[in-house]
Amino acid sequence: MKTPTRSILAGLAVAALLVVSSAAVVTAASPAVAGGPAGKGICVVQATAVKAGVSIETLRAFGDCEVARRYTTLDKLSGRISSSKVLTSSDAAALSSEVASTKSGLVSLKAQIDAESSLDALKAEVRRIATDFRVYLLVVPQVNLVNGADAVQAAKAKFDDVSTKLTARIAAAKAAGKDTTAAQADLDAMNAAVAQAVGLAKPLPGALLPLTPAQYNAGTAGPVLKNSRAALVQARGLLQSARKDAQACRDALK
Amino acid sequence: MNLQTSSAARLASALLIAGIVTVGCGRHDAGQGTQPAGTDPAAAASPVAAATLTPPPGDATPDVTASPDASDSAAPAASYSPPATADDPVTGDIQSIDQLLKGIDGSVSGADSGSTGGE
Repeated sequence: MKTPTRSILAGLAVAALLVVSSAAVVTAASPAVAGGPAGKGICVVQATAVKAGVSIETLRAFGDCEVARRYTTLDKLSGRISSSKVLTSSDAAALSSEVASTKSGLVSLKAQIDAESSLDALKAEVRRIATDFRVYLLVVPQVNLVNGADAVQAAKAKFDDVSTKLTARIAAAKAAGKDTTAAQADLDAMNAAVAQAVGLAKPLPGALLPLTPAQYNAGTAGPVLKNSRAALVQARGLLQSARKDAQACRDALK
Repeated sequence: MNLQTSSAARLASALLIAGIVTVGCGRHDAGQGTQPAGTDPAAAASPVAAATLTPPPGDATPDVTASPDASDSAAPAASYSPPATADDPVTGDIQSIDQLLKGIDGSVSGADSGSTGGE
């Protein structure tokens, strides 16, 4: 009697663990970045209705839908900013402020859209949902790129810890008569790659945070975003290389 | 009164035997891992057998003198012995760096996904 009961309990425990593990996998695999596609197709019904016949009602419904999906995106960005473990407090504050002001601007615009009685004025107001705020072309990349740049700084702190430990280990190995030439070369390469990555990432928040929708519309923000992304990709590559160097140094001292 | 005393004595004896059997089964199960309880009813029911299954006190007490530190202190001062990879703090740091690199990946792809969301 005891054995079947234990088997059942063990089975239940394993099942519970699998459920927890599955949840953890889903969490880990879910996109880290909010506000991406964010339902570009969500407003397709309203857009189709507008195409079928433009009226104040159809256009207002489309505008309200477009505003609502931007709210969703901005709320997700807010959550990402507040839960980020790598954003510096000043960058997080600047991004939170930008997201909040974007949302309050959209709230005001929605009130105008809902109260509008002129079709031509409504058309202009609906266009402003995109042009005045640039949620997807500017705000989403700003939050992500600044977060990435700060993550490079956070990685530097970790690499510094690794460097300290490996330096001590090289000294101990050298004192014991071991040849540490290869290990030292790996460590030097690691430190150089990290320094280069930090050099690329450090200026990014300062360049990205002041960008405005007006600058995007004028064509001056786009190149900054593009160059920042390229710099972050390069910094990521350097950190990946530094990681390999750290591993090689550690292994060379075995 | 005598009848009550006798009943109480019988009840106490029954509880004692049940207790011994329970303890014996528990120890037997713990020692045998997945082996079903009651495989050896004689051993399980016998307090003597149960006692022999109990590890001696010396086995249960951790041997603090066997720690790696003790052997290290006996080694010459200039000897060099890096930690095993699994226990290596550098390995832990590298794993933290991997997490940060994943975060940077997410930031890059998130920046790209903004433009697919519209304007």
